[in-house]
Amino acid sequence: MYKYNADDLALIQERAAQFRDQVARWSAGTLANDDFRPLRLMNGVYVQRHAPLLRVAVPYGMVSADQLRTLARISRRYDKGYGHFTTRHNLQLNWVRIEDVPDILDELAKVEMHAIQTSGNCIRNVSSDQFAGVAPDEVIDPRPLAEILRQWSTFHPEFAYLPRKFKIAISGSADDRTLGWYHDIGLQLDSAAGEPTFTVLVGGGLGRTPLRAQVLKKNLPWRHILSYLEAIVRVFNLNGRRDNPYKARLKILVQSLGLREFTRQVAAEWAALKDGPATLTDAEYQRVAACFVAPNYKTLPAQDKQLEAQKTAHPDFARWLARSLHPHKIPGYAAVTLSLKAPGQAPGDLTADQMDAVALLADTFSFGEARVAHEQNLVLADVEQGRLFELWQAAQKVGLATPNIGLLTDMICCPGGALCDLANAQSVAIAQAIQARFDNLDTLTDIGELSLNISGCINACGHHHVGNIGILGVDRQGEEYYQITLGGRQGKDARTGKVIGPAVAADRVPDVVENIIKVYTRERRPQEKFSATFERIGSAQFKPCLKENFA
Amino acid sequence: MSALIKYVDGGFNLSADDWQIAPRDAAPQTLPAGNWLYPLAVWQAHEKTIRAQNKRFGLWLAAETLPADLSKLKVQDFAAIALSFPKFADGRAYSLARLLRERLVYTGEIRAVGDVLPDQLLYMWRTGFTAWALREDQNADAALALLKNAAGQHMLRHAYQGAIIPPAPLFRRNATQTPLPNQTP
Ligand code: HEM
Ligand code: SF4
Repeated sequence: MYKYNADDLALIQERAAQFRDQVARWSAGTLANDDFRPLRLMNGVYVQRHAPLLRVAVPYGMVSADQLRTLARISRRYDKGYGHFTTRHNLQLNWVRIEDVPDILDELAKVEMHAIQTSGNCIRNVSSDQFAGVAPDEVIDPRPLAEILRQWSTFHPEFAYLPRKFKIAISGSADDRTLGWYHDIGLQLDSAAGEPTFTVLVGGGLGRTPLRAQVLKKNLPWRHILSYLEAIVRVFNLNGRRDNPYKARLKILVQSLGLREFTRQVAAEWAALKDGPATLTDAEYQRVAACFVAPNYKTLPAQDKQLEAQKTAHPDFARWLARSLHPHKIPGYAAVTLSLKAPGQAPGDLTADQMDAVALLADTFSFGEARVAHEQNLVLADVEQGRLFELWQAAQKVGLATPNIGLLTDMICCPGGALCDLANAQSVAIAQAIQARFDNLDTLTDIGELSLNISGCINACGHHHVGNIGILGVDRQGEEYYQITLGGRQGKDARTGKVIGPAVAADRVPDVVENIIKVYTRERRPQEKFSATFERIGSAQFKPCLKENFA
Repeated sequence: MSALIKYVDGGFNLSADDWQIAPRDAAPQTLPAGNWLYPLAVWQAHEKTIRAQNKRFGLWLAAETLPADLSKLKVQDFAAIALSFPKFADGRAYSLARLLRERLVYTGEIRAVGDVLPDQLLYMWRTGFTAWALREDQNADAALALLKNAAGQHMLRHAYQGAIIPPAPLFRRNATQTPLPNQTP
């Protein structure tokens, strides 16, 4: 993990002190509400339905055991003893008092954490791949450059008041686990002649106007990434719309200028910035990369000898393994996803006791580190295969071993009406109703890999557009209705789904999902994934699923 | 007009303000003698008159100004250039200031006018602003006090990225590169 030096630490301490002063002036009435609002947003403080929330950054998803323990302590002391992991690696504390936030920031700073730029119209927490550094399909570990981007974007004085929020994802693998196609900027690292290069995707986003990114530049040498990003963000800052927040994202600018004209403007700007002081140096890359060197791996056989016997003796363990493991590039190791999607749990929620438990698991099994996946799960990236059984037993005790990773009940879901002011719908209640309907593991396993994403309103915080099944809460004359989209997907060929028909009432959603699953399992060819079946047979076949008399 | 904050000789100070913003429809010959910041359209329509009648003149630029508008001007001729913040959350002027300094090598005063608040002042300073006409309801003394921390040092001494101040990113300056020991027991 990245280790702060004196400058890094001074910077976040200064910010915490500055925010303390801003809160004091706001409380005293010398800083007006409207003037305070963007300041608190840039420090991760939203005011939502019931209470302010604090969104703590987990930069590119890396979190240490010590940090988890601090988060647990903070959530007990200042909140209700739990937190919510978002789709962009942040932890939301939903019930803080604004007056306590300065103290919380001080405590976070002690473990090299902060809430900087987790909301507001600025460059947000950079997100990345939860299997960075360990995935066999990885070309280049994205984390050193992700950290370099974190530093570059932190308090960037020119880009603190952009037309709208700005989200960057960075990936270094053959597959894309970062949803790069649906970020303002998606960065894909590759390697040309031994040097890292970037493919720069631009203008993606979800929300009201879901748009897939377009390729802006290929083969950009890594040294130029900061000047190139400055060129893009400057063009956006000067030209993005500011009259309507729904038209203010970069995607709208790229769409209205057209890719050619946007590319021309960025190229003109970059011509003046290229090779300037923002050009990265080998020394800086190496300094940061030194924090991400491989841990002290043991030399192990590629296949652990006992594992097969353990699987045979414990079918539940075998079932959990089948869902929770991701291959590892070091022989004898595996990356393990801990499910935050247990039945009855709000997707992505974790109690303080569980945070402590994950810290202990990380210390015991994975070199003291964990990661946050954008699917709202946690990952222990470096587990010896020979210790998986032990890990499974320990994870089970704290409710983190639900064998549903990648299955229908591993839903992405926003907090919705339970917490969010903008919600049309109780997305968590819908998630729980679907979980309850699909509580049989055999059924779930038979259905196979399938993503179901739920957003409580058109802002799409729950990524409903890119779920195989997407569920969106809409308001119908004061009543909660749900619009169903099908065929979305993540990954290298990510795309958004299609609306299959009119929205349905809340109590019908589990039926409709079940109908969709019936059609899919009836029509699919062997091994065929949902989105492929959907594309092959088309939405007409699924449309009857919305009807009450579907048989 | 409320007091002006200026950055001169390495420090922020209160200063008397001897500039006024000319109305958008001003006919320069009808304005009383004084130091005027002319809106771009006024300048474009009356450049000759203004040059003939004043030794010192300044420019007022709306947030909508584009780099292409600037490149046609002889910016060095202006003693001051005012960049407007219609709302403090409208950040276009940050980029304009940086372009004026970096691209057009403008060395005169760049002042922030409009919805200018103390909490944004240091970001503006880092992108090339040197003078601030605060929003009417703001207290300039209080604003000055906010620029320093409890130890009397300037805030934001630890900027990561290069801008106008500092011109180089931290990794090209004297970065302290020794990791601290872990902070938690
Ligand atoms: C305080 C509660 C929240 C509020 C008020 C809020 C507000 C919004 C708004 C207004 C948008 C639309 C932005 C646009 O279209 O330009 C948005 C998008 C988004 N939010 Fe949230 N959100 C909240 C919580 C969350 C949570 C809990 C998550 C993660 C589970 C999340 C993740 C996202 C993502 C991934 C997007 C899509 C970004 C895009 O359009 O590209 N947000 N949010
Ligand atoms: S999708 Fe809508 S309801 Fe859900 S968190 Fe975002 S803004 Fe709130």
